[in-house]
Amino acid sequence: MEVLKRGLVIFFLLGAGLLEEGTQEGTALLSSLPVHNIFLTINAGEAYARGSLHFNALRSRDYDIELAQFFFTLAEKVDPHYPYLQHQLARIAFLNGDFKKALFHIDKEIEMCGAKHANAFYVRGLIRGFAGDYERAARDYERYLSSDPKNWAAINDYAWVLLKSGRPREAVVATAGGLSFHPGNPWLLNSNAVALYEIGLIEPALEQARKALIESRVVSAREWLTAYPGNDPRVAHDGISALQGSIRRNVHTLLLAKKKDALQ
Amino acid sequence: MKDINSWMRFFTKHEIIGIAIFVVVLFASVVLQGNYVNVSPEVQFADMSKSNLSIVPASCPSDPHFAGECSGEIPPGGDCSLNASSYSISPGQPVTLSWAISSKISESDGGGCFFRNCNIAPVSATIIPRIGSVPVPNGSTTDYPPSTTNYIMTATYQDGDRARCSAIVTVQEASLCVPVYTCSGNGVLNSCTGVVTPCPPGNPCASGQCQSRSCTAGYFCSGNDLYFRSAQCVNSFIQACAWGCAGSACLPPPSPTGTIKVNPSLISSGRTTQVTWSSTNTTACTVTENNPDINDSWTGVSGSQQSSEIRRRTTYKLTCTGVDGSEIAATATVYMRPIENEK
Repeated sequence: MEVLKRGLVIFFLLGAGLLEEGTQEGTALLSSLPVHNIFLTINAGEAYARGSLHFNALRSRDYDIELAQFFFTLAEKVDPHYPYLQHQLARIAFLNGDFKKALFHIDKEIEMCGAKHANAFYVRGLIRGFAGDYERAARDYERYLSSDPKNWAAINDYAWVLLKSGRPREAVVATAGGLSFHPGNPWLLNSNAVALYEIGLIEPALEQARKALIESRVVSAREWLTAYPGNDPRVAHDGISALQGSIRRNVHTLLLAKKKDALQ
Repeated sequence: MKDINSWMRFFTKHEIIGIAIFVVVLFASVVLQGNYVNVSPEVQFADMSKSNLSIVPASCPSDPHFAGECSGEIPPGGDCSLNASSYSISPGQPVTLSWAISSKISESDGGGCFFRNCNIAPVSATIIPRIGSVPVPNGSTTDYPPSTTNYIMTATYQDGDRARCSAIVTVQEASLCVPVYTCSGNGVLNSCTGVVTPCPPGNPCASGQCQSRSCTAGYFCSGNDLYFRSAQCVNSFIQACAWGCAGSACLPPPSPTGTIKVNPSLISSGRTTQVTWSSTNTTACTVTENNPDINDSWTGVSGSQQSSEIRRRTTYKLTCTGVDGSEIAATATVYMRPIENEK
């Protein structure tokens, strides 16, 4: 009876167009029910496809992270081993800031399909990086880069965790390699500048940071959303501003360092 | 009345009031729901390095279905064309550039595209070098390029997206005399005109050129060492590359290989076999087996060990970690000789 009452409340909310609250309630209810209590016939593939439709940042009219989570949770109830399902749940948890849950899901994905789905290692590296576990993040990035060595974002993020681990020289080498494939990439130019500064090369760092600032000014919303898939399309301009702001601060810091160095 | 009483019994009075309040509050939130934006921790995230600079991670390959989009160039979202009246001219001749920028369907306009026209028009465009801002969506202009010029047009759309296109106009040498440049004093002598152009102070002449103090900044290899050259032509040593240097970057580590053998591979029950393995470009290897009766396990990038006494078919597995971080595996199986053959 209690389940029926809750089901009616959810149905009423969905019907009243309160989709967000309805899907939150729906996701919570689904998580608490055993599979045989669900009265709909669910196809894991269809649920996964619906979830992916609402999780594409380049389709702004369909993007809805909570609806995506609802459908992925539905698919998990039917078939938790569906390819990439744990991967997508990990990404959603990461975007919601729940790194522990994100790590749980991506570990499952790697356990099931790690050898075939190399970018699961990338996602785990990203989660571990955000959680401060830089050494293990670096190993995950190395594993991913062995299969996709030209991926600029992986190279950039690998350099990030190398820098945080106190390995700046390796970060210079990694980003220099990335720039040989993507010479105008502002993320790589910025990380390369930071790494050069860390090994004491102020002038080269300043040159690269200036190039990064010029290139960051022509990053479009579409390019940013390609760099940060899964994010709400409406935050693209905030993200671009944040990128430009970080690089601009780096240029100012390097200019001051150069002046201080010249005086000594 | 009877029906209402039936429904009243289905829900308690407090539940009905609770649901009604809940609906009123959430109905008001529908108005605000359109403004809710999910801001993930990555949007404004920048981590600080030890020397207080901002590092900005990305996350492109996290999407399992579009990971490869960050391995190549990100294509612009719009479309344009830039044409020249002639792509090869003599010095002093004009060239007319004409362009057309098409509208595009927005894919990332921040929402609401469903309810209005999704065709996004360009709002501005520039052509570099020498030209500057130009009208949209089409137009033409005339230029007198002094030398071969790569004209690049960048158009910006209402949603912030961009389109890029270019046209190269080659300016031919008009003179029939092909000049040979040599050094004369501290200047460059043009063999056709006989004119010596002095080099600026501090820039010596060598090989018929004034040595410029201005370089193109970037990385280069010298042997197996990676260097960075600044715009002021100062070379800085970066690192000795562990796996060699080529182009402008250290070469990545090579892929690992591994093999494992058992000799003999066909034995009688209770006998042993010699397990031998080797690998290249690995940091660590382990050898295990799937026989519940024994407990053979060894480590090392290469080795040879005698097995325990074997009484059933056994597969030995070599697992290694490569210097590039990848994992490889290889197997070798020991088979049991049938008992009737031994009689």
